[in-house]
Amino acid sequence: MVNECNWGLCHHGLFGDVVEVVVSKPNPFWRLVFEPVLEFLSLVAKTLVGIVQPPYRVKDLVKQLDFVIWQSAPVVIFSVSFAAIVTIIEASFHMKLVIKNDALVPGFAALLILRELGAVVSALLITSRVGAGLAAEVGTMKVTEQIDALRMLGIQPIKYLVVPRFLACVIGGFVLSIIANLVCLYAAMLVSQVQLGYSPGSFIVAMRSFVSFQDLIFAAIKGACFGAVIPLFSCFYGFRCESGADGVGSATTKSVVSTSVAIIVLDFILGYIFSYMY
Amino acid sequence: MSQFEIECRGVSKAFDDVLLLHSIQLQISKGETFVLIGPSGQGKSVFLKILCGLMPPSQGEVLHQGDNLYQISDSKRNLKMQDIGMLFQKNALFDSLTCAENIAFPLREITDQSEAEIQDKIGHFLEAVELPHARDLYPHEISGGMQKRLGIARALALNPKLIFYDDPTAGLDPITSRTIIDLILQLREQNDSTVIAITNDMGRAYQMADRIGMIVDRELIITGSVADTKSHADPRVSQFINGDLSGPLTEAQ
Repeated sequence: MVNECNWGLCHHGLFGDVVEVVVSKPNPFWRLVFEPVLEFLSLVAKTLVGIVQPPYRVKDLVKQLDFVIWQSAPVVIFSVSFAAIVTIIEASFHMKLVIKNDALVPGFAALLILRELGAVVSALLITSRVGAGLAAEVGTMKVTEQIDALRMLGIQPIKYLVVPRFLACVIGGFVLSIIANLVCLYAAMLVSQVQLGYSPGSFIVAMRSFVSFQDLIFAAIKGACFGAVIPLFSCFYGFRCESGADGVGSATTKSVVSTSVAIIVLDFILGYIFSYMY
Repeated sequence: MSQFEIECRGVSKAFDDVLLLHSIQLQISKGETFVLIGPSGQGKSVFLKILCGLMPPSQGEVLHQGDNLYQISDSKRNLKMQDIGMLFQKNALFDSLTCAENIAFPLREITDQSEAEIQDKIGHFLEAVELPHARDLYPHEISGGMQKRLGIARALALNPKLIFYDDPTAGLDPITSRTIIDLILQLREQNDSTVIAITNDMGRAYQMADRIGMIVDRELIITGSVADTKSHADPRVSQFINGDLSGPLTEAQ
């Protein structure tokens, strides 16, 4: 006997045959580990195919861009400003303590902001705002059979639900990462002027000796990659949602935790790759 | 082209090694109304989902006009699905869309009809299910019976030739139930469609069925026409349709 794939898509997916083989294995470990991995890969593959396949859902994309970028921007700007302020004050305090001089603070702060802080903090904020909502939305649709209703109409749920959100999150991650980094730098410059006594000109000169425009581009690329991860994990857990309020809650929690972990791991991988490009 | 609208060949279904349905054979002819009855938890909804293409069987084949629904390509399958309508047990209405938008959704997504034609159809279907006043209301703003009728209207929006109803009268009062079944039969006549329905309300089953089947103990017992079902020899069937407290169904529990 072959057990059912969770969202009934693997049997028609790119990995259909592999899933059939895996789920027919008697060892439950195979099902517990490999089935979710293959389902996730199937989701990724179908999403990528869905991007290039017509019809193109421009209206949905615009709606999602508004949700991801416009509606997330205030939260991201507010939060990263404080993260930048804390960073520069802490850096100054410890440099003064250890080397009795905080002249390198603007440069180090800018380096930290552009290489890590801006992209990662904004991605984690998008995860908590957009990702959690997405997992709950898709999970509720699964539980109330709305996903099945889409399939009965001959509409592919991945094409309809995931693709516009995926594109919006990739573009949103890219744009919000740039915005977050610029806001962070501005906040850091402001604090260094008010609190540490560096003029904006001296801050920029010190900053330029540590970072370049390339860093901002790499930060934006990181933001786009983090953005890609958010809808994939959120929709994956939404599609696997089990019935009841418990099921939706559990799917949302799993999606936020997994996405956050994935972003941290991806940050390490991208940071490592980018280190060869400087 | 197969002579049957749907054909099931040795369909079995298991969840985590628990066998729910075993080697079910069924043929449903074009234009027929087949009603599935049976005690709760025996797999009626699962069987319906297998038949309509939403849930692959663990073993066996489901043929729609000769094509195995679970073997054909995604694109061909999506096209076939557009010829199938389904009313879900919990209606599965799109809760972010109004009643009118729920009906318009398949028309806008699937067909190339102009907005004027779509508006005409919305009006037509809302009239047919007696919901013209609920046009701009959201599903959560209307009653259970109205949601059911809206679900029927959405299921029929693409004029499907094969329609599945999963417990269309669940939770409804007797008068609304009768109205819903009358509506189903009237629309079946209009569209010359094949209907497969689940119900545990024997009155409604007798009202609409050409043939009845009962799912019990992992098997499908084809009890035949309404008259045949009423006089069926299997004690499980007679216990179920008479609602007897004692008999093989309750003893097994």
